[in-house]
Amino acid sequence: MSLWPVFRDFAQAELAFRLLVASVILLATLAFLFAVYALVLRYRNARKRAHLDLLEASWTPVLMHVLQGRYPPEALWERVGAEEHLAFVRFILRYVRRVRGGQRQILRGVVEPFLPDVATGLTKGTVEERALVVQTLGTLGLPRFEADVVRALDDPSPLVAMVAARSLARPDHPQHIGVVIDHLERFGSWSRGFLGAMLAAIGPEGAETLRTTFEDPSRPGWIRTVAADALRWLNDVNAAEVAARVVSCETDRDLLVQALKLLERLGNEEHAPVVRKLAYAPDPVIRANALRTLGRIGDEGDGELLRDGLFDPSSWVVLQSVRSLARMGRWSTLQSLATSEHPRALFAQQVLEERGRHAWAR
Amino acid sequence: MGTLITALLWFNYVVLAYFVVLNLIYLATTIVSFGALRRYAVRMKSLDVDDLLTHGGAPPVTLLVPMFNEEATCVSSIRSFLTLSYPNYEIIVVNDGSKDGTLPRIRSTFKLVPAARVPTASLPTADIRGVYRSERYPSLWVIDKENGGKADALNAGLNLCHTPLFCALDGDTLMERDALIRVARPFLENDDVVAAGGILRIANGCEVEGGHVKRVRLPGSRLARLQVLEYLRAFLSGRMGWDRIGASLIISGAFGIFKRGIVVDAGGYSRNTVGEDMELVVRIHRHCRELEMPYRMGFVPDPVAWTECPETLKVLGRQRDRWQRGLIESLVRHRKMLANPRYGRVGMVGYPYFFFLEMLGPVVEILGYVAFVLSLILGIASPQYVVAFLMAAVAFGVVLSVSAVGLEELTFRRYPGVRDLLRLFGIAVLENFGYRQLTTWWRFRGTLSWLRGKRSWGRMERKGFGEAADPHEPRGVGVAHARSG
Repeated sequence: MSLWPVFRDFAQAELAFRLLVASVILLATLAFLFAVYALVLRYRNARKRAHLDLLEASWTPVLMHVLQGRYPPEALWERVGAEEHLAFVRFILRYVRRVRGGQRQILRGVVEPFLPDVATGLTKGTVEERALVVQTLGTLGLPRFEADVVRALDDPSPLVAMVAARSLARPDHPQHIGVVIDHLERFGSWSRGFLGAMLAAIGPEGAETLRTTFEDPSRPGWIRTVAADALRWLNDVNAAEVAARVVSCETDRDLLVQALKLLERLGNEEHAPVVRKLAYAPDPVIRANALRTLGRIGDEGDGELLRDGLFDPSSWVVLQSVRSLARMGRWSTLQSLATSEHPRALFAQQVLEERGRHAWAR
Repeated sequence: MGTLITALLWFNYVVLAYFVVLNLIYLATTIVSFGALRRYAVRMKSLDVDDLLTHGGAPPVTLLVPMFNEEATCVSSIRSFLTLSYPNYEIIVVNDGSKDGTLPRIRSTFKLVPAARVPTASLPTADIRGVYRSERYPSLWVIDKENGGKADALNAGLNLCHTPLFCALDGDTLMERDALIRVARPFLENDDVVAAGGILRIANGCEVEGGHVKRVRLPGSRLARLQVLEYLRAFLSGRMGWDRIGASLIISGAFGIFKRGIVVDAGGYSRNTVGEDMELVVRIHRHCRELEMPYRMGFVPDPVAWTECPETLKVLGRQRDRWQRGLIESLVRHRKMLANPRYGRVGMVGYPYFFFLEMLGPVVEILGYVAFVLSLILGIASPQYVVAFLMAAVAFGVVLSVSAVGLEELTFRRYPGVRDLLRLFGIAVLENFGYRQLTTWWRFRGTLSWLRGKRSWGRMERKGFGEAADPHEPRGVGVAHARSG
């Protein structure tokens, strides 16, 4: 049967109809091409995965021997083909996250000859690709590529800069804490808690720089807050004096709160007077933290202050007051409160349960 | 008669315009999603999730899980919540006056005892009958209350939430172990983030063990498979795209994480809507914009929560009816935002789209079918045009669905077999012959229900995830309530 009449009728039909039919054909073709694309992707990924599995199956036993010191790294290198350098580096990157100490060093030695290939990606590619390169070099390539990773702190992309910062904020590289802190302003949108934990990862050797930053009035308040948080993570007792000074003269709310938290963890009775002044601060978050801190470093005389806290309009302040009374061992006060008709009785009940004291039991 | 014909002609143009605009927007969001997902996949390789966990700094989170008649799935879900990889979190299950064995089952499985917990907010809710804590798992709390609806239950949980973030989940949701750290990640990267949502996938047909999906499979039933494809399209093509544009109005109520303080300040969940999840998100947009506070909301495509989808037309119809009512309630309530520059891209782009195309869409479509038939009968449209147009509509639908499968293949590849892929392609074609029309009809029905003032949820049925019984569970409970997938 000839299709020519069909084409002739079509060519003579109205433009709108022809457009409609053409769009149907185009869309159907697109759908078919997408489907083929997805199948090709599946096939390609499956092949890639199978090939990688084979490679990793050949590398893994030798790697184990290298880690145990039975073979030199060269035994592994000769199994890595010219086209397999990046795959090998990614393989080692997965392993290095699971090990510590000497084994990490061995893995770094194993992957060292292949890192220059990776480093070529520092100045090209998308933001995400550069971030991956920085992460790889930061995890596997220090100190050799230290300058490159430090330079990445100035990358136009905040993501790349953050990956560089996290790579440098490691216990084996305490010398980088200064440069990381100097670049913190790039990460102003990041969570303060996350940044504090990141700086704390450098370990006790970074504490001195952190104390200096914490006390430095020329630094933005939020950076000082992050430094304080990091010091708290590190349990740096020397930071308590700095915190007391900050509490006595600063007005930045977040900075005050972090300083109070630091004192709550690391302070002593000598720091109590400056904390007491904040027990009636207008801001409930400051009040709550002040009362919480007094629960640990305060004395008998602070019992009255804490009982005042039971009447605070803020639930958080009341809860901290009750917890502080518990910390001071004021069990009879709390038990009387728990069994009374006082509007805050529930707070005492919760705290007594938290402490495993159910003497007021219903 | 002449007037009718003129009206029909014009209405046909409206339908045509609606079709073109809607599908162009779908196409645009798909294209935007394509680029965004590719970049995201590479980005995730440079951010080690395990490292995020061990580094610390992850904010404490409370999972809020309202449950109503979830006897079949409650234990599996809670088990999945208890084994998440996250440094610091609590779970508050809210039993919203269940009439089945939900509470007894939870009580016996997790050894609940009465406990005191201080409220941090005072959102109005139905009466609380009791607050319990698990002796076995101290981070698990249960609130037993009078029935008040999902929003009411969430507010009851919010009132007792002590953490800066909370994650709202459905009672039949199964979370992957690293889902919480992944969905909380935006809050680490940006202090302005107030809410984020993850991706929901269909658990029907999957192998579930210990509250986690062990093996991903397509469901056996065609109806469930159709929903698998719908969810892929909705999340990968739709939400990702709208999130990139910065005009997303939805975070799924089955898996969304929020800053507690913002939600409480905004008034908590609204109890007089069946679309409390969307209504909350829209209200948060409004609240933050009106206060001129910097804020962000995000969709995070890699954290996954699995949920059970309806496998009967009746239950699915009720669900879609409810979703449409929820959509209308949210959009009508906050119509002040429509095309209002004060609300930025949300008001100028997202809101008009949802209002005119998603909300009014079913009405236009159903009337469009009627108009087409009338046009054929009255001879004002040639059968060839109508057929060609319908074929174009089907072809466009197939393109969008196949591209969603392609996006899945490009990024997450959760369905391991090639057969699964081929089945999804088959579904992409089949859904245009009956299923789409059904969902449009249900949404149209939902619109009529809203106009009639209907407010109820309708009855949802749970079949369970088909897990083996826990050897620690009392006898008589467990497999009897489950059904293989």
